[in-house]
Amino acid sequence: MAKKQKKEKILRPHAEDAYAAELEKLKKIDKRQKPANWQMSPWAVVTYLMGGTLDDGTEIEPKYFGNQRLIEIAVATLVTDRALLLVGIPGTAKTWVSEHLSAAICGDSKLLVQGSAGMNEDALRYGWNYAQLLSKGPSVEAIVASPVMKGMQDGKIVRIEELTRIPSDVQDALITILSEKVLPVPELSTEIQAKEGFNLIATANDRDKGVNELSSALRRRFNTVVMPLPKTLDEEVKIVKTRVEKIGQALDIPAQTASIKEIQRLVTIFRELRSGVTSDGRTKLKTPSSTLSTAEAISVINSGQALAAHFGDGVLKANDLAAGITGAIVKDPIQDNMIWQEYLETIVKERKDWKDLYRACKEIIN
Amino acid sequence: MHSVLGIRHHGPGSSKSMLKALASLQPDLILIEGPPDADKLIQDVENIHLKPPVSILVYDPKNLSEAAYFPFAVFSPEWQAMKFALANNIPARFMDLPQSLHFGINKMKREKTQIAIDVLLEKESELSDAEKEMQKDPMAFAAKASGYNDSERWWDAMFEKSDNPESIFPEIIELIGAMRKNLPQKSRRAERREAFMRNTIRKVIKEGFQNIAVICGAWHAPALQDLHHYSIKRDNAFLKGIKKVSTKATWVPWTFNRLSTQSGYRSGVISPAYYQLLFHHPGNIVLHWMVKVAQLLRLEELDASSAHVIEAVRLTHALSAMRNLSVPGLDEMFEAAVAIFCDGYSSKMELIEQKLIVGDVIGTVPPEIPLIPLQQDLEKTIKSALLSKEKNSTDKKEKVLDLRKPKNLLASHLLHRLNLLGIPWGTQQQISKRDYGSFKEIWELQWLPDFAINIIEAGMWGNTVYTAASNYVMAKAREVQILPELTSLVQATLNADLSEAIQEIVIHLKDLSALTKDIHNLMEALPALVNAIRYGSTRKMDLSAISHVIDNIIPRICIGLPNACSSVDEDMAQEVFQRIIAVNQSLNILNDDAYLKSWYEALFKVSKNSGIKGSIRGGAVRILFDKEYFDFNDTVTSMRYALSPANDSMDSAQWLEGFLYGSGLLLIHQPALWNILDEWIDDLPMSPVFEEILPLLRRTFSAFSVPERQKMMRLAHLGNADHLEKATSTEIDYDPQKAAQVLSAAKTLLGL
Repeated sequence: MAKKQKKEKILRPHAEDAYAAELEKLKKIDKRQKPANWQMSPWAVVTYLMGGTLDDGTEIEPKYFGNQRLIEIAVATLVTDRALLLVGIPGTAKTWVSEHLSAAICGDSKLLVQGSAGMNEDALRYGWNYAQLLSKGPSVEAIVASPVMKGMQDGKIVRIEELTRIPSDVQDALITILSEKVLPVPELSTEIQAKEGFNLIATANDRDKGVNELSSALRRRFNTVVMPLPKTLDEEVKIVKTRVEKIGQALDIPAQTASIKEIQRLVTIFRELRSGVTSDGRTKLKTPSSTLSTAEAISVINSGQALAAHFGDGVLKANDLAAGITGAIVKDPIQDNMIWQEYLETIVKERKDWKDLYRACKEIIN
Repeated sequence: MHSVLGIRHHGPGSSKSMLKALASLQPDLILIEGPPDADKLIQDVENIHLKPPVSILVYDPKNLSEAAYFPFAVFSPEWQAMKFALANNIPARFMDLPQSLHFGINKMKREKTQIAIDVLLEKESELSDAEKEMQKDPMAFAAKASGYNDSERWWDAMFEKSDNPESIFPEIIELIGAMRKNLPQKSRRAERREAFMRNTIRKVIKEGFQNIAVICGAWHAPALQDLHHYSIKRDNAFLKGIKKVSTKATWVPWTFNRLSTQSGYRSGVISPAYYQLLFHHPGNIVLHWMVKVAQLLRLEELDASSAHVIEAVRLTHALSAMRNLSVPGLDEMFEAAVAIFCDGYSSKMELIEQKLIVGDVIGTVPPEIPLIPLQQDLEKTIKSALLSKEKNSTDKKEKVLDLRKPKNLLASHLLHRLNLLGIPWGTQQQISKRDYGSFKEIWELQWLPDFAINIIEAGMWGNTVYTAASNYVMAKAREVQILPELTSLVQATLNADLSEAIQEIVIHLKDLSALTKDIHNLMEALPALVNAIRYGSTRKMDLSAISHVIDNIIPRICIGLPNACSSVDEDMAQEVFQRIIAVNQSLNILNDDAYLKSWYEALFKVSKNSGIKGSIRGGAVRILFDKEYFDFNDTVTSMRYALSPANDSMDSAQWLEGFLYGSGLLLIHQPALWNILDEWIDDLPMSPVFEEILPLLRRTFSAFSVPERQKMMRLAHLGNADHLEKATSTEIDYDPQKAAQVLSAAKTLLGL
């Protein structure tokens, strides 16, 4: 009981905890060859991500909706001990996939480095416990290991988020680690050799250009997989629906599940504005500066649901969504606002069953 | 005894298995699915200068629209079977339904006669798309069913690894037999072909051959295996009553590009370049393929190191292991290459895709293989015109020819001649205005293997390109009865440098121009002739005859012009207007005072004739003004007259359109003309007249350049062109300080 209470307090459990049962089942049933230090075979990893029914009837929930071939390339990359780079615009499930990959491969998605402009080499290599350092001089005990170093020592997958935000000279610290699988510690004239099973999954955003482009030396050490936006409306609606239900459960939002109709409307708007053309291909549209990714659609529905639950009648309606939609689309107050209004007047207004949405959005803008 | 080896057309895996089977069978006769019309061509396969991809071309010499191609690549089982037969001194024959019968059937169809058995049988039913696909390439169908996108990899996985190579072909017969059971043979054509093939096998058994190897597409294999399942009577009935057509056959070079699309076997290959690699390096295809990727990328100046290749090979193997494929396929290799070489984006791969997947290989046919004489001459000329490189490439190539260089001149003549003969190897490109009057010609060249049939077709005109083209144009000239068509033929003939033909055509031209009463035809003919004279000098040809014709035509045009312009309708008036402009240009090129004088007189008459449409009259006035035949006052008078209120306003607007054709500067620089126009528009009643002619005016004015229109706008604002000074002075709105900065530099440049 005490344990359960503790679990409830966690806002978002790690993948390996949230899907512990599934991972356990997969491990049990998996009779295929495992790469060294992997807890399951590549086939099982793909199954874990893409979902499916196991031979004993266990349902594995799909974690990634989309092209299985991409996931296969990603997993195959990790098998060949090359590092994996997931590239895509924000909200294309890069981090999500990397978290689940490491959860499935080594049962630990916690070795994480969040890339940022202010990062120094210590975050990728090691730091020092200065008290120890002063009292005893440089020693192995005085080293504060980075997640990368830990991953090397334990033979686990390390994740680096937003690789391109890391300054170029810091990025270069990865080159030796990736090519020679060694982390030198010159202060102690020693080195840390990576154990089998160690690998890197990095994610990078290709929308923000000119951040800190990878040097070609580093790029060569990664296999790149581009994460696409969902191909079809149905696919995207499915993703939003599944994720919304999941998150809704986690956050205890008492509202009824969002109707498929509302999700479809929202996803249609996002897709149309993103691609600059209406779904029937007849009308050209201006595209706003916002990314309008699937992830944003999910959060709009979620906040709408929270609104409906706490301030409405519990059923998600157009006016619960209006504020969220407007907020997601209008990132630049002048340009985007104009584009959004134009879209409202020319497209939303003309659609037969969209009157409620039109009125709700107009109210917000005014 | 006969053994049927069911193969996949153009399947390298099939080739390998078939060769193994042939080696262990040691047959005394090899029958190959192919046209018996071309039996004699089999011996040429031994010729090392006959380099695949090549194709057998079977055609009906009397009707060249009937032609069929049978292409082979080096990895095609049929090609390998022929090679094997020749190397081991085993007789080889083709056994498919001859093209002479195929063409015969087509002929009967055209003549609406039916073959006896077809009347008796029920009508053919349409196959569904899936069924068609299954028949076309049953191996691909089976491969897809077992999860392989790439049927060659499936073949490898299914058969190559088997310990007992002899059992492959019986297995295939069993597999296809099962597939055929579910799909009743419904195509009459296929049934007839199989009947013929069975009859051929029966015949050679009767001839006494003991151990016959039969090489055919896998789909037919079960139907050729157990002959006793099929009634001889029915088989014969299928072939009875078809009238034979006599055919000829020859080898023609082929390309991978053509091979990858549909071919005579109705089984296109997806990736000839890949298949070739597969045939030559079956063991480590991934490595060879990735090396090729790297090399092609380097040619495009993209980074691709050996380390990339190593990683890509490893990823491919990991990927196929994960997908439970025992051998990696094209998909795996492609995806791995995208991830490793291209940073995840397939656009880089698209750059090299054509060369990587299809390949730009073109076959050769040695000169000693009987070609028609025209083709031999063509090959020779191509060599001496230095165009071999362009011919041996399948890509579109641009070629710039400088006609002052003898080789280039030869090339230009050749391309023009081929175009006349209906072999459109090159298309002449527009040259930029800068290069007008230069000696340049720009051509876009793309050799297509199909030209083989065009060449044979053109062979009826003569044995060399020169004589064939000459004979062709002379024959064409005799047919033509309309002058402009003949003059454009004259131009084409001149471009192709057919000096003998031109003499005869010019005689014909004289006759026809004398007979032509239609002034419009004469006017249309003139520009081509003037061009011919103008550029004839660069072609070193005697063109006095053409000058004669021109001397003859111009006076007739001048006399007939006023009449020809009157009583034409609106659309016709537009055409006449364009012709006047063209004739005017031609006469300016000739620059002969006598001609110009009578031309201007004719135009003067036109401008005064109120029975002629406004646009033509306006145009005439404009030419006369530009050429200073009219002075300013004459022009003002003409304009005022044309725009008088008594005239139909529509006609006035059209006059204006003709007058202002090409440029509106006239209005800007001649205030008097502007004022007339201004007054006229002022006086127009708003409705309905102004509204009616507005579109026409808009059309006229929208043709002017933007600065012209802006100036006019300014003039219109001022209301009256007397203020023109002001209008133009606002133009010079400059900052003296800024101007001073550049002035000194400008002075230095101009040497002031």
